[in-house]
Amino acid sequence: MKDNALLQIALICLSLSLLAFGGGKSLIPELHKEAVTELKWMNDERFVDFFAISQTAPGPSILFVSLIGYQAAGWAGFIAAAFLIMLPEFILVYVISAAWTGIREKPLSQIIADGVAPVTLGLLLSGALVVAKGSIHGTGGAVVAIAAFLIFSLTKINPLLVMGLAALAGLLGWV
Amino acid sequence: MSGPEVSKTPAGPAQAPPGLTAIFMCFAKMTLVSFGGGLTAWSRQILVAEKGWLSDDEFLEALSLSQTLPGSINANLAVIAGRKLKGMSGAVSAILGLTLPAMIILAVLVSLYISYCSKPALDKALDGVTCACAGLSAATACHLGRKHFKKPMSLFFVIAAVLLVGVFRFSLIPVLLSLGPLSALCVWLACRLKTSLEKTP
Repeated sequence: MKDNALLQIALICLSLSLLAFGGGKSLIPELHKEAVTELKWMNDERFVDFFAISQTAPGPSILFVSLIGYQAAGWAGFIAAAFLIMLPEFILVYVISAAWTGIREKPLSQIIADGVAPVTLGLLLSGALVVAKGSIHGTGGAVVAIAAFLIFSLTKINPLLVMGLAALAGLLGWV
Repeated sequence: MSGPEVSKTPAGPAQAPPGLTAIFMCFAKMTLVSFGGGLTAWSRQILVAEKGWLSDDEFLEALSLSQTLPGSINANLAVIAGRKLKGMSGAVSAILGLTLPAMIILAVLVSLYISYCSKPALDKALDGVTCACAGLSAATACHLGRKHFKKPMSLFFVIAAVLLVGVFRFSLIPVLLSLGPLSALCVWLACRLKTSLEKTP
């Protein structure tokens, strides 16, 4: 069973690595679909808890997959997921950046970048929707989410401070 | 620390390339100071201003390539900068420096979570944090999208992606492979139309 899960997490990471346009967060809807809906490795609550943990930790947000790997197949899954989500991307970026000099100005790469951008935004918003559905269970939660949205949109306060306040609101039973 | 004055050196291999340990440590530091976000801003601060390993122009070019290619922007940036400094071994040092400290911290956090997640206090605190994360994700998307939401064609593809992936929960691969090229085609057609209108008086 565990070996099977390790293979599955490996395949998920390898297949999604080159599709993470706009960074790791655009994979949230797909990861949720795989880990919660289809493979049933965890419930909604654990998924959003893991997302919160990965957002609190430093480093690339794509490392979120290693938490899913951990849930699926223990520490082997943790390491395999982190390594395999990075590997195809590493090779692609290495090869392209070696051949890159001057391509930036060419229209084709600009058209690809401009074309993919709105789809990526849609994926990021879908990710926010998935996290909101899994985390907000009442008025209190909605208030915290909207307050966080406004604070992050309008100010440059360090996210960790906002997370701390949100944790306090949770402890006080407001959520 | 080599001091901020080196950022004025012109682009080019003016200085000896740094060692692999130095590259690893530099990216490890970058990850560790980015607690709470702002990794891209820190990358510029450390690579350009502090170390002088890249000029401002080189950094911008690396950043725009990192944003165009799939994957984490900061991981891409590490690969590009590492390759520029010392080829394959430099790129490997940079990506390991960026990810290993973050993985260790994540491993500690997830162990703590597994040990204490049955405690009501942690459960309640995390309920608050996850709601804030939903707000943070939406804010990030809106911040990145402020340019695109104003263009009707871009807005159409944003909404189409939200409906297909976020609401109807289609898989990422078919959606990305259909909407991506379609959207790029529309951008290309719009460019062609614009240039042909400019040419014909």
